[in-house]
Amino acid sequence: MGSFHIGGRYIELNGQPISEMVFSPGGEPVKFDPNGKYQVEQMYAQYFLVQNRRGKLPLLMWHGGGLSGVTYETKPDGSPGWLNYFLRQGWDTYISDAMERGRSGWTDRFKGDPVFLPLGDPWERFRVGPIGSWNDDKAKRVTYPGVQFPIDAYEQFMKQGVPRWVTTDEQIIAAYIELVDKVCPCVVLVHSQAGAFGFKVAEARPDKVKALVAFEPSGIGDKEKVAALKNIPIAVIYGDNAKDHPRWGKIRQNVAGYADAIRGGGGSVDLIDLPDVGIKGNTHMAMMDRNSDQVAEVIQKWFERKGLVD
Amino acid sequence: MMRALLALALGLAALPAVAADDIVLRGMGSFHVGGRIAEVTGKEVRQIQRQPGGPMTKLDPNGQYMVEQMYVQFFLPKNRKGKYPLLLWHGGGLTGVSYESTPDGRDGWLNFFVRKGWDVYNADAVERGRSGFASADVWPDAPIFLTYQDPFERFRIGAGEGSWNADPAKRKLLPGSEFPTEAYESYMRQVVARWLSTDKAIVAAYLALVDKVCPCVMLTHSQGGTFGFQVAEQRPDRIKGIVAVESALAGKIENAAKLKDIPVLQIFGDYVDQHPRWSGFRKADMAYADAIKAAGGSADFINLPDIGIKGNSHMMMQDKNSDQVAEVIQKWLVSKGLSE
Repeated sequence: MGSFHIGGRYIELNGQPISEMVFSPGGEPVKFDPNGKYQVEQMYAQYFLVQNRRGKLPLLMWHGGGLSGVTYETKPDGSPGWLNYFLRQGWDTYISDAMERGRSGWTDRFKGDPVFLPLGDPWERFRVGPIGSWNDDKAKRVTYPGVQFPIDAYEQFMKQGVPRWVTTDEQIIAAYIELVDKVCPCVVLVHSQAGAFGFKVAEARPDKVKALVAFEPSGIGDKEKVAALKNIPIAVIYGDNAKDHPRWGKIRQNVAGYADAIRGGGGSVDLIDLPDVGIKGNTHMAMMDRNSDQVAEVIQKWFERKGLVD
Repeated sequence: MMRALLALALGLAALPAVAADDIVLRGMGSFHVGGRIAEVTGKEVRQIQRQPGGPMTKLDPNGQYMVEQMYVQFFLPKNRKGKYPLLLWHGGGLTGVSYESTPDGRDGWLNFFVRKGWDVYNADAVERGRSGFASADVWPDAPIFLTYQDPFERFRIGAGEGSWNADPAKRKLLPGSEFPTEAYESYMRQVVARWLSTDKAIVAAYLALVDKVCPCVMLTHSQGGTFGFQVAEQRPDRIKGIVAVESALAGKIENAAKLKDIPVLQIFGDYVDQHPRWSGFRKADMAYADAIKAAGGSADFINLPDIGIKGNSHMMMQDKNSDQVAEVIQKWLVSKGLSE
């Protein structure tokens, strides 16, 4: 097991004032000159290589917006997440923090300000409860009936949130492409915001991405480039209460259209709505839902069907 | 890339043969501790574009936010030998990545100590890495970012101020430096922004960690040492040993007596005498060690060159002889009865 950073570039700052700073309270003042060269836009990845390898290729897991690779680690309720699940299934697994998030670091030179999510925002947007169901008072929060999200651990989930910028997609994709160039051929599992990143990177590196699983992708690739995906098996999965949700219904519709375009280009996309295969109550954060193993099993079985597991 | 093998022992019917240096775990995971809910009020509602080319949407910054939590990742070896969990706390402008693979791709101290049988908990201090950070509405001051040359000169990789040059061939290294300078670029990718006003929040989260997983032994680096000693002064019964690598100031001298039942080891690398900043820190750290001893405690102080280990920078967990330095720590931990 280990980790590395890849990608990034240098920027140069000039003409900024020099100041004296005390780095530790009571410490010696240090001359702080902000002018000079900075490393920016790199990406962190951590890997675990299993002893009894069964996955034919490394498995890369890319998280969604406002989050980091922690998404796939221990769940907010303390039980093991998808990282441990797929390691136990024998996959060499690489989890990254997208450029700007978590251990990748960030710079104040990105365009615009970062966005911070209020405590209640994911409750409705990630379909723990329907629109209008959040309340600052715990007792008054409403959930979807039968929801699988561990609601007692909602605050714990919110500790995983990190700020995000809305102007940095290009740099994020550039770093993911470098990751793919370094460790692939591979299989990529993406979530939410990383859906668009996964599709776009696969379009750019169709010879290296050997399969793509997108759990609730929020965006799509470039429809002009779908022909590049014709040899990559793709699964797109949505949880419960998504189809008819004002926001997720539209997103799913958009992705379904993209899936049609891929099929039109000779590719293969399996679009799986979990309730249709009898798995109910899943939120946007299915990897943290109480039945996360059950959802992971759907993915693992799909990998097996596609010949990606020994 | 070195192939460090890992087996999750749990749930495997039959383990394949294990090579001598394979890491075999009985568990691994992560969590966030601490944090509080901050209320932001009276801020202007803005319009932002959430996706390039997308529509302008309303962003209301007012409301409740989860802030000041801390991320911790843990690895539990199957063959446990450490009597207590070992907590790794990194230095300023850095994250737990300090202890993972070295910038030149070797195994770092995390793998070293897991192989030695320690349950290891590796944290990202509040505001850094996977702990996330709060908005300017909650932390009003601006964070600082390190230039490419700053650690080169400040962390005793180069020969002090003026040793940096944009041209790698013209950089003035300290003679015999063990830092993998060819991987300096990779090292700088580990650097993250830091604030200078958040010490209280950082210490609060470390206290929450100690309350959750200790009794334990802590291994701190640089700024992490300052936090480590402050936390130990507040939880002396929970800390069973402290290894402080180049603390940028230890604890408060007047509180040193609280550590009298905790074995303490402080370590400094090479070239400290010729570096005014580090010799200042070392002097203060030694005074703290003396105060612990004066109170009847045990405090060992190792200058690595004095025991024949030369060339270490401030980032000794990443130096080419990082295993050699880790051995010094491991032997000390064993000598204090903290590991089999």
